[in-house]
Amino acid sequence: MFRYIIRRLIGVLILMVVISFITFLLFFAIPSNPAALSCGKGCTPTVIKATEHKMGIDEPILVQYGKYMKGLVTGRTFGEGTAVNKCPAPCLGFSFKTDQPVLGMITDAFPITLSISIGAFVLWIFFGISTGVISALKKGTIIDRVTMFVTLATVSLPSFFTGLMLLYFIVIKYGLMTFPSYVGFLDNPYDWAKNLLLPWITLAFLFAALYTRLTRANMLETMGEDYIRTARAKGLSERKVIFKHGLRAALTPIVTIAGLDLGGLLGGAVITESVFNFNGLGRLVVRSSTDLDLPVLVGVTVLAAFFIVMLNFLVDLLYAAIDPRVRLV
Amino acid sequence: MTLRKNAVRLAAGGAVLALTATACGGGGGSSSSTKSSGAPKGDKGGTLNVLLIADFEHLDPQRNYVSSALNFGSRLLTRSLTGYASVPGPNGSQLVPDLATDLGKPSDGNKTWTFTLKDGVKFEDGSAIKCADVKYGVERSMSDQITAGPQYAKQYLVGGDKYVGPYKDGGKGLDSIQCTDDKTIVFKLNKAIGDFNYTTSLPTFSPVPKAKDTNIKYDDHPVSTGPYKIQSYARQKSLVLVRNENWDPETDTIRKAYPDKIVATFGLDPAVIDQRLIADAPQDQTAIMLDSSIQAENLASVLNDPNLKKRTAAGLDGFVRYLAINTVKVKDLKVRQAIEYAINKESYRGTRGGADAGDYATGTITPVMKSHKDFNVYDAPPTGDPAKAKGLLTSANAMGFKLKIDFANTPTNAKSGAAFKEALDKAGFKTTLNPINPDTYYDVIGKPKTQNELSLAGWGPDWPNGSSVIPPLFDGKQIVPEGNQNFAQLNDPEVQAKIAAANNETDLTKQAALWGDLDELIMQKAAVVPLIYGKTNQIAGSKVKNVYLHAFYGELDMAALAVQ
Amino acid sequence: MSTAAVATPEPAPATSPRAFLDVRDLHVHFPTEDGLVRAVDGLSFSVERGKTLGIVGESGSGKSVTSLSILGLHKGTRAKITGEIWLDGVELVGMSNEDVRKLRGQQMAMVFQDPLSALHPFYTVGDQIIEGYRVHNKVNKATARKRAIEMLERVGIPTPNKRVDDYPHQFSGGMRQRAMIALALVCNPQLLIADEPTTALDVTVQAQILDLMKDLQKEFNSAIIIITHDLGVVAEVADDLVVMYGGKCVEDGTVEDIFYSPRMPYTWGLLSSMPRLDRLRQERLTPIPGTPPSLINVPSGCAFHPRCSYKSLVPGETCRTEVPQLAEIEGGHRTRCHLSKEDKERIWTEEVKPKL
Repeated sequence: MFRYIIRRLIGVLILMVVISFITFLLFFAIPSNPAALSCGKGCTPTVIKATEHKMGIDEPILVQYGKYMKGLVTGRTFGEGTAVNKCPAPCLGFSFKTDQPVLGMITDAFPITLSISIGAFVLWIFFGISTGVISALKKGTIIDRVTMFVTLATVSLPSFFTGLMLLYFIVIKYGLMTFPSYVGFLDNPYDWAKNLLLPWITLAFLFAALYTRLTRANMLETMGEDYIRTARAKGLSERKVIFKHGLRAALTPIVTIAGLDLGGLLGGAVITESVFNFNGLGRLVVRSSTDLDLPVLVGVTVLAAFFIVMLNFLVDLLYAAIDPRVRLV
Repeated sequence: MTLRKNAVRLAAGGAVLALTATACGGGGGSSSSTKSSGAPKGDKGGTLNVLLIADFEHLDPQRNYVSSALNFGSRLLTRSLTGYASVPGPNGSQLVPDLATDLGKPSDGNKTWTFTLKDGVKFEDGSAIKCADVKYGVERSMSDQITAGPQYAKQYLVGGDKYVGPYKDGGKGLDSIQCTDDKTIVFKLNKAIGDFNYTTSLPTFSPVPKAKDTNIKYDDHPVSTGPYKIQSYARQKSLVLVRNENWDPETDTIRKAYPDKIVATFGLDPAVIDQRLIADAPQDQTAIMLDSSIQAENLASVLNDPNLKKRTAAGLDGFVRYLAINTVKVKDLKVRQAIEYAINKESYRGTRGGADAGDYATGTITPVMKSHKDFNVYDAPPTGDPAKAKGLLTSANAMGFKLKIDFANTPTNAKSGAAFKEALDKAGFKTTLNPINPDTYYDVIGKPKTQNELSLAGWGPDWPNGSSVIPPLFDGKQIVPEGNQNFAQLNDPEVQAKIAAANNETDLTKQAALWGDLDELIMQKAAVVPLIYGKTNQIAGSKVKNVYLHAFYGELDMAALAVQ
Repeated sequence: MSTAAVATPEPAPATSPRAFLDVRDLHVHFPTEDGLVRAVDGLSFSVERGKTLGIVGESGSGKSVTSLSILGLHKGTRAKITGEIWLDGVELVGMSNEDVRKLRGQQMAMVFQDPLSALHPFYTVGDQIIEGYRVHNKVNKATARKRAIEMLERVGIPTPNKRVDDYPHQFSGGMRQRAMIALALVCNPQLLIADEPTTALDVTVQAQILDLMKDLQKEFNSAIIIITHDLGVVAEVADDLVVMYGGKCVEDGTVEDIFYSPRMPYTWGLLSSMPRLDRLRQERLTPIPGTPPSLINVPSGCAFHPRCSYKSLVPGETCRTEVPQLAEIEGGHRTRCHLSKEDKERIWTEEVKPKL
């Protein structure tokens, strides 16, 4: 088990290196020159050269990548003379666009994405699973049919639509809430939740529907298993049969998917963040790609990949804890 | 692709290398300053919310060069030597003194310009603005570390092209910027420029206190000389301005400074900005849009609703869209004239959104400028005159003349290209389309050797005078092998002589007239097919007052807005 | 039996002559989109304590449905159940689901066919036995655990105090079935229903399990119903037999009756298709021709008639038109067949028996 964890963690590390390298390569496949873009309207070839040098993109990719990796471990110093910009380890560089330290940009954006993701996650897991279970147990009834119809409709709704609709009706038309803007959890937990409510609902809306359908399907399958019959034959109450024997088995595959979904979201809930103007990682990555802001792009991409890979790993551990048949080797 | 207006503007303007204005000049500032009309006391106070798609490119005055940032920065934070009046209508493009007492005094055949700083002008820390601060600011603009700003100082000042900027000059500074005393600044130019005082309206000529200069980090907190100062600035998130107590309204005829506080929020979806302002919920009643305009899908409903229309400002955005005719490849004037008649401006405008997209253009100097002249050299209906075009082609013995149209490959441009092709083919041309990657478009067509017969382009001048339109676009001396902006590749002695004459005219009214004549002359030479003068519509919350589009900035005037 | 605070059903009147388990005219029908499935159609049988009843038949003959009906596991589903099921003088069909639940695992228990899928993969064998015990007995976990170990030991699991914490997948097939039996017997039920208890096991383990069941029956004096398609199994353990076909009983009687003087063509078919270990067969195994009947469109008349080789011996179309009654031949041995008593005897002795 311990060896398994160590081995997986090493794998994660290698993957991070590979992903960061690929991001570097992809970036340089783009024909545009970030130096020209940053230098803007009043630009001359000399200024572009100087800017390229400042950005460090005048060197071969491998050298750049090497410096990047070294900076990550030992820190880096950018520029020279009066324009020295020190970047302590772990150094992710400075934004090409705003000259802000990338690490700071990411640590600013991350709590926002984390807040959105976790809150939405809790909501959709709760509503998705409970409606899924009810729907499965009431299979074929009007409740089931309505639920299935609603979830089908919801799954097809893009989140920008849901988000804009919520904004339009709740904030703009009826003024039930003010326009959401992020408040730190530690600053004011009540305002934090209040402002995040609409993004949570938007995001949870989409996922909850998926999870309802998934839970229902799994639950129906599980409730037809022989061991459920055994549980009933033992004389267990139906509640125990459903929750202890049925749900536990039905939820196992959902754990995997939930882990991956959460991991994906932690890398940035792009659309929801955009609609509600929350400056999380998702917007950061979109902005940095339109601005050709390589350091930010690499930083966020690697971080997003890290979450996905780590949650994958956690899911595997969790799976082994839930299902004794699974062995980690 | 990006939805950002300023990026569009940037792309449209291309890299304005504006190696402008040769010629010589004379004459002094003749403009009278517009006294700030004693605004009612009730307009003071409150918080103005500015909803933006994106953060400002740069507020560092020496790096500030694109529209919304220019409007926001110049009108609220960083004053320059000259500026523009804050009044509705074409008078907004009126050049007025700002930090300087007047519009500057040219001497030495327009090669020396002297400005005197007003008394009582201060930085936000209370220290007086001195000549050295202006000198330092201008020197900064020449450093290769301070990127993205206009490069006029480098181009115009004696020794500017070799100057490395204050960070690397060993403290020597640039000799062609002289401080005769704390109040008087003298610029020595490498050529005669009759309207150098327009150039000094750019924030390049804003003072920067050397002790407070933080190089590229100065962007995060430029030291204010205007009515507001930065209270907090979270890049790409929000910016809060509060009153700068060290700004003396007596020294400033431009800025009304009504609100107590200005809060800018970045990163909003343009559709959301529209919806919020249209819905006019209490928290948005004091809000405006700045770097977006009312989206096409909302425009009709806004303009048809009297209550919404009341809150809307409509006008020209300062841009001209045109089709440059490569005069090297299309040498025959009759063929070029045939193109002028053949183009169907109506179908072109249709591809950009119809009448809301702009007014039909007849020249390259937009009507909001004093140098605009009313003329219509090719008096054809907006749909073009294919018969006349065909006649010209036939008489030139050039039926079936082959044309290739360069354009940046965006969905809208592709439609426009198709419209051009249809109209030109109808008149007897053989047209092919040449879509080019938008990211590299201006690099590609900036190489005269490979540029095709027709190129779709746009232009927004750096100051509201013909000197920022005609020379960069049509001066044959400015054709360079790379980064060229004279897309017509016009190299005409008559035009060049007249450009020199206009540049040399220091009476700005007279100069304006000369630019207008030049605009018409260039049309007669059929170097360009002007398509539209771009239009824009912006809306503000119901409690915002003084809602109008500024003639030069093409946006709501940050210097005049007030909240109730 | 434990004296747990389970609502004990009304005791049967002392005068009742009823058998310990008495099933009367049981019908189990499932309405489906394709039509009504008559899974069990008028089935009656009884079992006394200490005795074993075998129910045999092909898959789809209604065996398993019968057992699940007795346990009341069709309650709350769409199944329509009519008839009577008396257990120890108490009628179960009309009883509430909750009351039947209290009897399940306590008075009657069940051993299922495939112990790997019938045991929950996420819980240890011990936990599953403990859970079954604690539903019906108010004891603490430690006591229940002791009981579970005791039961595992009783069914022959080696080192039960260790294996109690194993998961089902860590057990071998035979051990899993032993654990399943331990689970079924943990509350000392008086009725044990074993549905194909040995089908998933290899032959030697089969015998061990059957022996175990016999031993346990002696010890607890319980009634056992063994449901199987394997006549070899019932020959081993059953006292009485019910042969089912198309949801009905087609022949019943003692094991001797049915093995030594079967009087129904379907039973003959079953016997002919059974491999024998005790002696050499005269001929090849003869499978019954055709397929089991659809329970939605049960063949008219005798359900077996489409597959019956002897229907020509019955005059007219009787086999096709008239449902034969379950008629007594002698001393409780009954068949459901239109053939005359003489024909039945003649065919068995002259045609079927010699080929076995």
